[in-house]
Parts: sequence; structure tokens; C-alpha cells
Amino acid sequence: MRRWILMALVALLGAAAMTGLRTHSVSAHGETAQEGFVRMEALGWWDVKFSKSDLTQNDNMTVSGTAKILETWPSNMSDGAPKICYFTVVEPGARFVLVDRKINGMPAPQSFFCSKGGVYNFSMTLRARDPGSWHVHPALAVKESGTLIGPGQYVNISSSPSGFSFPLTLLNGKTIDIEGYGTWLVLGFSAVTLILGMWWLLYWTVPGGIKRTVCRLRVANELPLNQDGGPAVGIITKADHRHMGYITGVTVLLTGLGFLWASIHYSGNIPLQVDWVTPPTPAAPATLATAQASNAIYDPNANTVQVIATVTNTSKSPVQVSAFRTGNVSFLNPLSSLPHGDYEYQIKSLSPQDPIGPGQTQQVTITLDAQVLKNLELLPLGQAQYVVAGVLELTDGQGTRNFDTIQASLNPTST
Amino acid sequence: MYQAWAVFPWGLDSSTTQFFWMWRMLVVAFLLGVGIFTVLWWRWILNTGRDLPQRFSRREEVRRIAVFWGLIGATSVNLYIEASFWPNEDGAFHQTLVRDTAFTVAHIPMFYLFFPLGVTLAVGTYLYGRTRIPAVYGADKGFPWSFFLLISATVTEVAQVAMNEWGHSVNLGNAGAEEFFAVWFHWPFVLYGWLAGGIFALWGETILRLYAIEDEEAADARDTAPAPQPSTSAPV
Amino acid sequence: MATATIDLEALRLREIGERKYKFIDRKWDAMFWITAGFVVGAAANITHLLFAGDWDFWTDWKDRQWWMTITPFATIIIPSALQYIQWRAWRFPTGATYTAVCLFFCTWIGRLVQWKFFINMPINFVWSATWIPAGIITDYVLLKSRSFILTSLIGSATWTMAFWMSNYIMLLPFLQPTKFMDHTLTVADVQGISYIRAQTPEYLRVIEHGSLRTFLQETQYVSLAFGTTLCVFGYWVGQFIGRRLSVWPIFRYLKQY
Repeated sequence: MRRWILMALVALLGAAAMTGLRTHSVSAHGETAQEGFVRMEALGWWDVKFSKSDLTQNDNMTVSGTAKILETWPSNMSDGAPKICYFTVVEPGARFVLVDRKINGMPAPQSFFCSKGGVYNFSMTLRARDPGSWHVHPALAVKESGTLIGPGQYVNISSSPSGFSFPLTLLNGKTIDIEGYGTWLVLGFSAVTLILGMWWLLYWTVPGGIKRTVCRLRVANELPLNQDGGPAVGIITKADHRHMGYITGVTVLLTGLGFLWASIHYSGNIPLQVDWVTPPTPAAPATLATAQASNAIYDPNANTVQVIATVTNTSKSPVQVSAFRTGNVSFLNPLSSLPHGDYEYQIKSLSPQDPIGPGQTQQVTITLDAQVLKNLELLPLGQAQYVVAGVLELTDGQGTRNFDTIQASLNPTST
Repeated sequence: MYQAWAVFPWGLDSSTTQFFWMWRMLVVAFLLGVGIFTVLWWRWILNTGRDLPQRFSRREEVRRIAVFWGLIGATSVNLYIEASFWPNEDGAFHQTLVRDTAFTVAHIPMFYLFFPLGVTLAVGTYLYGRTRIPAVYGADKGFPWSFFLLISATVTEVAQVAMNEWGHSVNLGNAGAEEFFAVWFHWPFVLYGWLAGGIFALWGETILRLYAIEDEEAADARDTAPAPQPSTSAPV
Repeated sequence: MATATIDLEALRLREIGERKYKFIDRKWDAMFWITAGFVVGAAANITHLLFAGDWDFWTDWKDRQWWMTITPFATIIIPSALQYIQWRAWRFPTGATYTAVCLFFCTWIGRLVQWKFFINMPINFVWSATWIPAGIITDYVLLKSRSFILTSLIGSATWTMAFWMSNYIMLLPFLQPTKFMDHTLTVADVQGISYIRAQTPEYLRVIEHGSLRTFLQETQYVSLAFGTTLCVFGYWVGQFIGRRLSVWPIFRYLKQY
């Protein structure tokens, strides 16, 4: 019985302790557990494109698109006023390296100053690093709120015979490969310090006689705390002091001379940089129309959500509802474009289907497949705010687009 | 190995059915497994302890102290896995996705296997000491402070899991939404961990008992040694 | 006569130390050092990780203002406790070095297994600092002074300075300037930008931003000085753990509970 229990314990510990290595591919990245109404109210994403989906190691790929911090940004996140943001990529590990990032045409290596209502046309260039099939999303991190994830897709990386490299030229003209740069010093110096530490410890613990650990307790118990008994007792001798002096001396020399060498060899160093930018405001397209939502009706029997909005055409040509974008998903009017990728779907129906004439005001009903919203946990049933929000895209005959933020209360027809 | 196989296909999105079966059910499996093992093991220690003879040899007591040290060792290894190996895994894993559930993949073995197992091992070690080493841990002496601290460390660590998940979900002081190791609601993990310093007292107590056994053995050896014989050779 | 008495006492203690035992052999020593290593490494690692881990984890967090203020405090706590325990129990000046070596193994196993092999972060971005030179020097202070008060004062200074100097050696290559996305940055900044950490956006870095009061190049030294002061406080937190939680409980029992 004892052996059985012991084996069970060992098996349990061993099996569980081995849970933790290697990787495979992936689908969503956890955004579906963030509350639906938050994701709808916070950001709008459109035109997200991946320039390639198959690459070899060291190839570049660009993820581009637009993210807008909506006017409906939740008041309990970042105190209702986002100030500092960061475009990033969500991927299962460091499978790519980011080599370039522009926001509204401006290079943005680090964080940037953002605001509610801001429109950010981003492009991030990624260099393929790890062979495999990886699900990648652009994302926008907002200080004191967290990271909001845009639409993503699988990208495949195949290996290159030369492996991955990441060259970078320093200001002193030297070219390095960041991937392995400085590793020799880190591992080498750390190993040397380990040798010194083990030398110190083994000196005390390995020899027998009066240095047997467990046996010393009896002697130590009888000595006052701040005394070691001196050479007469012999638990710490002059030879011990001398030897410890040698090790300490070597340590001090290694540290001091190493510091001096590194300061000279790596002179010209600068402190870590904090370089946050304020991207320019992109030129807004001509205003075509304004829109306001009045209702969002959820019908559990038909499994649909109907967004009812009033659109006023303020331009000189007819405009059409071309898409409704909410969270990281888009519902497209098939008359304007067809869905592609995992995050684009068709509007189930649009009523009336005809474009809205110049100067006209028209109530439109956009019917969405509620199952899509449920699968992506965007329908806020059972959550703290029954709200539908998003971006209504309106397009005129010349292809000019307006993006109007709309929000309405979600009203189920039955519970 | 399970995590290596299952984490990236099914571990990143807690809303999927696969996540439910591959990962959430693992919580159930772990808790049930630890629960069953705990009950069986503790019962075995207590039942067999009752059947042991009241008197036992010094060699036998030394052997029991050696086994006791082995159990402390197992507790120590478990503490390493729960306080070092797995937190590194947790930190690494949380860089690959957005935290979307209290039952994230890295949390499942950490919080629902190794943390409860720490309690099992600490209490089991105490039960072993109470039934096998009565000179130090017998029931008549009261409850040892050394075990009180060590067991408290393991129990409070389990309790702290709840505060940790609460802190991450509520985003109090805007601290829960980002992955910051040194966030304030992580600090109780450290403070409770310090209580495990009681483990050194276990070694101290049993070493002092070993000395007592050695002294008894030496006293017996002196008593039973033959009396020294007068010298038969003439003095020089 | 007094000298003879003292010599007799010293001789008696020496005999106790050299006494041969029937049951206590070297296996007990090995068992203690090896099994204690797990709990010591774990305690040191969790204290370091959750008090100061962010600064130690990434090259792009090891700045002039915060890294050296917080890390020495967080990492002296357990070595101080072990200094007390190992001096009190065995008169070994090994507590700080032992903790530093155990922490070395714990952090490197964590970095290699979890960060390198699991999510393939390059080791030159997530390398662990070393505390061993600091541990050796601080243990030497205890050996020579035999005083915990002096070790808390002198040892905290040596701990902070030795930690900074020894790890600065490894950090300096990453503070070389480069041009990246048309901006002047360090190699460490580029690592932070390029090797994407999904949940550690760049703005999360608690590092020197500069201000009207950053006192030009004095920032580093002000941080070292304050780090040393905090380290003294941390040392006594460790002493509390060693004295009250590890040694005091020996043969003490709760009678009512």
C-alpha cells in the first residue's frame, strides 16, 4: 500500500512537472473573454491587411490597417480618456520580430500619445523568425486599460538554410546580429560567477572533520552569536579566513576589472530611451453623411440583431451603407464587397437596400447574424451593459468612405 | 508534456469547447486527484501509525527521521515548483496571449495541482512526525510552531489564488489589466511564502533529537563497555 | 588560570565538533544542503520575481533610476535570513552565497526552460542577473565582522554595489546606441520593441523618463545610494524571517489552538 501511494505521488508529481515545453499553432488569443460591450465601445478596426501569409525565415511581412479610439470609449477604462497607447502584435511567442512601425505615416518605435476619437492608420513590418504556422493579430494596448485585439490570421513561416538573423548597425558603425549579440558575455560571466560561488560553498561543506555541517550545530549552540570561538575552538580557522580572502579578492578583482574593461570596450553607451511620439492627425475625408443609432434589437428566435440607424446624407451624391464594424469583426454589404478572412462576414440584410439620395434622411435597418456575435462573445447578454456599438461605414459612388461611430441600447425581444 | 501538446492548439482561447475539455476539466482532474491522494495518504499514515509498537530502537528512530527528512525534501521540491518553476512558466505564457480567464493554462497546474499538493505534503509530513517521532512531535507536546508556520504558508498561498484572480479581473488601481510581475496583489504570495521559513526549524528540531539519540547510544556504550584492566607490564 | 579555563572550554568545544557519531554521517549533510536548496531558491526567486522581477527580466527595464533602487532591496531579504540561519546553526559564513547560487539555478532553469524553449525569447533579452559576487562579498563581511548590525550596514552597501557592477558588465553591450526607425535608441530598446511581448506594452516600463530634477548624470548614483538604504531595511526584514520564523520555533509548541 505504501509503495502504491508513493508511486502514485511520484507519477503525479512527475507527470505534472513535465507539463511545459514546445509549441504548436493557435486560434483566438483570449480576446473573446473580454466583455463584449467593452470591445464594441472601445475600438473600431478596418482595412486590416496582411501583405503575405507564407514566408521564409528573414522575410518581411507588413500588417496594416486603421484603428480608431471610438467616441464611445468606456468611461471606466483609463478614466474615460486614453492618453498613452502602443500598437503591437499578439502572437504565440516571439515568432516574428518587429522591424518597423508607422502611425499616420510617422515612425513610432515606442508608445504614442493618443486620444478618444483619434484615427490611427498603422503599419507594422514583421520579420519572420520561427518556422511554424502562427496566428497573428494586430493589437492596440491602451495604458491602464489593457490590450484590445484586432482581426488576425494564420501566417506560415518555413525555415531558411541560414537560419534567422537580425542585423543592426550601431552608431559606431559596427554591425551586429541582435539575435545573439552579447550572449557570450552574459553566459560566460554568469558561469564564472557560478564557479566562484560553488568554490565558496564547497570549501565549507565538502571537507569532513570539524566542517561536517550537522555536527557543528552543537558547537554553534554553545557560542555567543557574535563569536566564532577563534582558532582555539577551530570551527573557523586562520586558514579559513585566508582562503575566503582569496576568493573574495578574486571576486572583487573580477568585478572591478570587468567593470573597467566593459566601460572602456563599450564606451559611448547611453541610457535606455523613452521616445514617445504624437502622430499627426490624418486628413479626414470629406464628410458624406452622419449617422445615429436608435435601437439594436436582438431576436433570439430568428437569431438576429437588427441595428436601426438614421442616416443623413450631407453630400451631393448618393451614399450607401457599405459595412458595420464592431469589435474586431466586420459585417459587409455584399453590394460593396465580399468578406474574406476569419473576421469578415456578410450583413444578413439591409433595408432599404437602395442608396440614400443627397440631402435625404433615411432610417436603415441592418440585420446581422447574431450567431457570429455570440461565437465571438461580442453580444453582451448577461453582461453589465446591454449595448451595441461600432462603426457604420458609408460610401459614395466615387469610393470615398465615412466612418461614423454609433451606439444603441440592446433590446432583446424575449429573454 | 500534456501542456506542450495541448497549450497552443487549445489553450489560448478559453471560450472554445476544446479549452473546456482539455483544460478546464484538467482543473477537476487535478483537484480530484490531489483530494483522493490526500485522503488515502493521510489515512494510511494515521492507521499504520496506530499499529506501530510503542517502543522502538534508536536505529529505527534514526531511520524514521531520515524518512521525515525525505518528506521535508518532497515538500521543498513542491515549494520550488510552485514558487519558482511554475511562476516563470506563468510569466512566459502570459506574454503569448491576452489573459481571458482565471483558469489560464499556466495557472491550472500551478494553482490547482501544486499549490494544494503543498498543503497535502506539509500536513502529511506533520502527521508522519506526530505518529513516528513522538519525542519531538508527539501529540502530548502540543502543536509545533515549526509546522504551524510551514502549513500556514501552504494554506495561505492557496487562499491567495482567489485574491490574485480578483485583482486581475477588477483592474483595481488600473493594475490588473497589464502583465506586471510586481503588481501589488502579487505581494501576499511573497509574504505568505516567507512563513515557509518554519521548515528550517524542522531540521533544527530533528538534528537536536539526533544528538539526543547519539548521546543515549554513547552512554549505553560506556555503561556496557568492560572495565579497564590494570596494566600487566611493569612501568618503565 | 583564567587563560587555562578558556583553553579548556575551547578544547571541549573542539572535541564536540570533532566527535564521531554512530548514526550521523555525511549523508545527512548532503540531504540538508540539497533539499534546502529547493526551498531557499524558491523563496529567493518568488521574493525577487514579485517585488522586482520586471526590472530583472528584460534588458530594456534595467535602467538607471529604478532597477538599482528596487532590486537590491528585494533580493537581500532571503540571503539575510540564510546568513542568520547558517551562522547561528553552523557558524558558516555562507548564507548569502548559498542563496545566490540557489537563485542562480532557479532563475536560469526558468529562463531556459520557460522563456527560451517554451516561447523562444532570445536569452540575451531575458538573461538573469547574477547575485553571486554580491553574496560572496557580503558573506565575507559577516565572516570578518561576526556582527549582523555591521553586515546590515556594510553588507548592504557591498551587496548593492557588487550587484550593480557585476551586472553592468553584462548590460553594457545592450546600452550601445543605434538608429532604429529613424530614432536613436539603445540595443536594449530595440530588443524590447522587436521581440514582442504581447502583454508588456512599452509604456509599462517603469524606467527613467527624465525630468527637471533628474540631476543630469547623478541619477545612477542617487539610485545606488537610495538602493543601499532600502537594502538595509530589506536586510532586517530578512533577519526577522531568519530569527522569528526559522529559528525561534524550534521546540516551541502551541498548547491551545
